[in-house]
Amino acid sequence: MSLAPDFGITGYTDRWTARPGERVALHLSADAACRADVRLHRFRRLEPRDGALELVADPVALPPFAVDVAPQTIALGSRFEAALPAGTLPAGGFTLAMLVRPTALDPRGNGLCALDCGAARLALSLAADGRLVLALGAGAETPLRLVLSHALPVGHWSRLALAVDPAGGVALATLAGRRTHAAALETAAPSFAAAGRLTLAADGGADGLPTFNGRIEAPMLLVGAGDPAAAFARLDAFAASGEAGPGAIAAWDFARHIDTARAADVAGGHDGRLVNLPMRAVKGVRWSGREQSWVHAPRDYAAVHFHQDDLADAGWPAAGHLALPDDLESGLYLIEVAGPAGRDTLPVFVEAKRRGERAALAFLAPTFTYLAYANDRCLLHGANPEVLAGRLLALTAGDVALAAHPEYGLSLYDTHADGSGVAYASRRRPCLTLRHTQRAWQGALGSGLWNFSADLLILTWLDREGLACEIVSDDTIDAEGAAALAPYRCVLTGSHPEYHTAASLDAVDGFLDGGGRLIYLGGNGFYWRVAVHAGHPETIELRRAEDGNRSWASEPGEYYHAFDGAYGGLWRRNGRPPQATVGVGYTGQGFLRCHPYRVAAAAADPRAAFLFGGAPPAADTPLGDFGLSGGGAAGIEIDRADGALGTPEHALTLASAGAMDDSYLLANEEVLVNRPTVVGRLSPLLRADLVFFETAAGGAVLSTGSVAWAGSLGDPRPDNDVARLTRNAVDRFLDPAPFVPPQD
Amino acid sequence: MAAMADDLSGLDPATRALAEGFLADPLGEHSPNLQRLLYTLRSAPAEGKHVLVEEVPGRRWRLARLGGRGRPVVLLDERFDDLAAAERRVFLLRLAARGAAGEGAA
Repeated sequence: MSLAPDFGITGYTDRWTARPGERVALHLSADAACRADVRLHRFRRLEPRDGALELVADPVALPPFAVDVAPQTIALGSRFEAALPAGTLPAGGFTLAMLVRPTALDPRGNGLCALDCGAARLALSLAADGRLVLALGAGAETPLRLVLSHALPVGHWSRLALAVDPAGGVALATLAGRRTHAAALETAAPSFAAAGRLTLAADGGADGLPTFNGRIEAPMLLVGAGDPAAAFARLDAFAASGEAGPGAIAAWDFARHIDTARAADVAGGHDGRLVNLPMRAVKGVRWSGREQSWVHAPRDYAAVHFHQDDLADAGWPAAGHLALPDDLESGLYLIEVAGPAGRDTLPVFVEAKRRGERAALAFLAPTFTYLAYANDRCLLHGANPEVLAGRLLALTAGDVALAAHPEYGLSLYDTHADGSGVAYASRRRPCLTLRHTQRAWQGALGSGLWNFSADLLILTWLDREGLACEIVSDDTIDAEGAAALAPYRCVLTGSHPEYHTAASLDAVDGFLDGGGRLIYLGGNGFYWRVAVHAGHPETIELRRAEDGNRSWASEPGEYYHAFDGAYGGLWRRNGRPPQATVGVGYTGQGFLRCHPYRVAAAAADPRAAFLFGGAPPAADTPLGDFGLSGGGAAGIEIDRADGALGTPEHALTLASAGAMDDSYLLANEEVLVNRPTVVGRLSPLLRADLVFFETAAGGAVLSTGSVAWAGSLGDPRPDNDVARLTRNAVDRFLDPAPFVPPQD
Repeated sequence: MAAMADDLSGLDPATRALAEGFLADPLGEHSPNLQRLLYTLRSAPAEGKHVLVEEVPGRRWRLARLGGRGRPVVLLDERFDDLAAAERRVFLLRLAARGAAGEGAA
C-alpha cells in the first residue's frame, strides 16, 4: 500500500486535529472535474522494502462516500476592502489620499487601489517600472487610461492624492520627499454615488493584476477635489494623530485593532477588512526607533504590509464532510481522496474521545512545527540549501507540485516576492509538505524523512512495540493548556517540536510541574515563539527576531507579534531556553549524515539503571550507530545540556555525540565573534546530549537532543539499542511510582 | 570511469585531482580543498540549478532544473538508479559549465 498522492486531486481539511464524532471538511480541487471516493485509513507503520519505506495502514470501515471534485482557483495576495453605502461619496467631488511605500514590482504590474461604485470604476495600478497607471470608466465602455511619466519610488514613502471632480475629471498627485508630481485625466467623471467598494493594495478587478507589494498607511476619503497640498497635510495630520479631522468621509486607522483583520474607519464607520492577512505591526512613516513595540507606540505602527503572495485562506468550497466514527480510536489517520483525476491523501490526527481512557501514553503531535514548514519552498527558489545538504536536492512529487502551484502560498521559511520574510502561515490551503510521502533534504542520507514524515517513524515504533498511545496536538494544548496532557502519565514529543506558543509551552511546563513524564524524542525543540491569530486560529505568526538560525530576519523595530503583542523570536531570547524545560537546547545542525552517541560515565548512575535494563554499557560504548536518518541516532539538528541555560544541576548526561563531521555548524546564537572553529569536532559545544532528570513533582524527563533519534527508533533491526532504551524509558515513565530527585 | 576521466581532460592538474577524488566517492567525506570546490559549485542560484526528482522513491531519480520563483520544475531526459551516479553526472556538468565560463579553481 502506498496511498501516495499524485496531486491530480489536491486538498486541505479545515483542521489537522479532530475528535471522534466530529466532521472534517474536505476542501478539494482536481485537474479535471470528477467524482472521487473518500476512504479513511489508520496509519500503522512504515516498513523498509526494496530501498524505500512502504506504508502499512488499516482501512476504516465507513459507509461508501464519494464527492464531486471540480477545479478550483486561488486569489493569491492580500488586500483591503471596505463597503461604501450609496451616497457615501459626494456628487460634488472627493479625494482619496494615502501614504504608500512600494517594496517590489511585478513584471505584469501591480494593482494599488480601486473604487467600484455601481457602474463607475476608478483604478490605480503600478506598471512594471513603477509608473502609476490610472483607469477611469463606467459600465461596459473602455476605460480611459493615463500613464504617469514618473514612478513611485520603491522602498520610500510617498504621499498620494487622487481627486475626483465630476466636472473637471480625475487629478492625481504624489509627493515623494520634496518632489511633487501631478497629472490629470480631464474628462467628465462618472458618478460614484451608488453603493460600492473601495479596494486597496489590489485593482479589485475580476481578472486583475497581481496585488500590491508594500506598505500603505492612513488611507482616507475627503470631501471635495481640491488642492493636493491640502490633502497631503490632512494625511500627515491623520498619520500623526489618528484623528480624521473635519470633512473626512472615511479614514482608516491601521494603528487600531492590530491583532485583528479589521481596519477601523474613525470618520464614517465604514470599517474595512484585510483579506488574506497582510502583515500588521509593521513600521509606518512615523517610526523613529524610540519604541520597538506597537503596544507602546501604536501610531508608529499605523501601516499594513501587503504582499502579492500572501494567502490566509484558499477559499475552496468543501466538496464534502467526512464524519469520523464516534468510536474511532485515537491515532493518525489518512483521508484518501481518489478519482479519475488523481489522488490526494490528507492526514488528520484524531485525539481520544475521552483522553487517557485507553492509554496513559500520549504522542504530542507538533502541529505548529508542521504548519511553520508547510509549503517550504527554500529548495525551489530561496536560500541555497544544497550547500547545507551536502548533496543534490531530490524533489518529491509534492515539491514538484508546489513549484507548479505558486498560488498555494509560502512557508515561514520563505521570503515574499519583495524579499521580506513570511511571518504568517495558514493551514486553510493545500499544505503539500504535510504528506506521509514527503521527504526533504533536511532528513539526511537514507530515508530522507523529515518533520511530519519523520514523526511517522515514532508512530511506527509505537505500533511495532504494541504500545497503546493516544494523540494530543499543539493546537489542543494551546487551546486547553496542561489539562489536555494531565490524563496521561507519559508524553512523547515528535522529532522536531520547534515552534511553540506561550500557551503550548506553558502546557508542557505545567504537565511537568504536575508530575508528568516527558520523553523529548527530538532536536531543536521549543525554539521559536509563535502566536495564534484570535480571529484566524488556523494561522500562526513568527517574528525571526534578534537571533537564531534564520532563513530571513525581521526588520528592526518589528520583533513584536501583531497577533498577541508579545516579543517574538527565540524562546531563549524570551528568557525560556529549552534547557529549562527539557534539559537540552539547540546547539547546531548538519544535514548529510548522523553519528552514534557515546555512552558517558553517568550512565552507570543507579538513577539511570532502568534505562539500560540494570546493565549500563561501559563508558564510550557507541549508542545508535545506525538508523534510517543519516545512519546514526545523533544528528540533523542537535541539542546540548547547559547549566547556564537551565539544565537542572542534578540532570545526568547519559551519552553524548560530540564527534560530528565538519558539515555540522554551531548555532548562530552561540556565536558572538565568528571564528573558524564553529564546525564539527572543533567546537566543544557542537554535540547531542542524551539527558535524564527527575522533577520535584515526582515526574521525569528524558531528552534525546537529536532529530535523527526517530530514524534509529524506527529502524526495525532486531538489536536496536535506541529502541530498547526508549522502551525502557516508556515502561518506567508509565509506572506510577514517583521519581525522586537526588537529595544533597 | 574511462568516460569520466575523459571529461576531466581539460582541467588543470589540481582541479583534476580534486575531481577524481569526488568521482571516486561522491557522498564520502571530502578533503578541505574538494569541499571548497563543492561549496562553490553548489552555491549557484536556484534558477536553472540541477536537481533530482524522485520517480520511484529510493530507487529511481530523474534529472531536472529548477525554474525559479513561481515557475515549474523542468524535467530532463536523464534518469539514475543510484544517487552517487547522479552526483557524478551533475558534478561534471557543473565543472564543464564553470570551465566554459572561464572560472578558476576554488
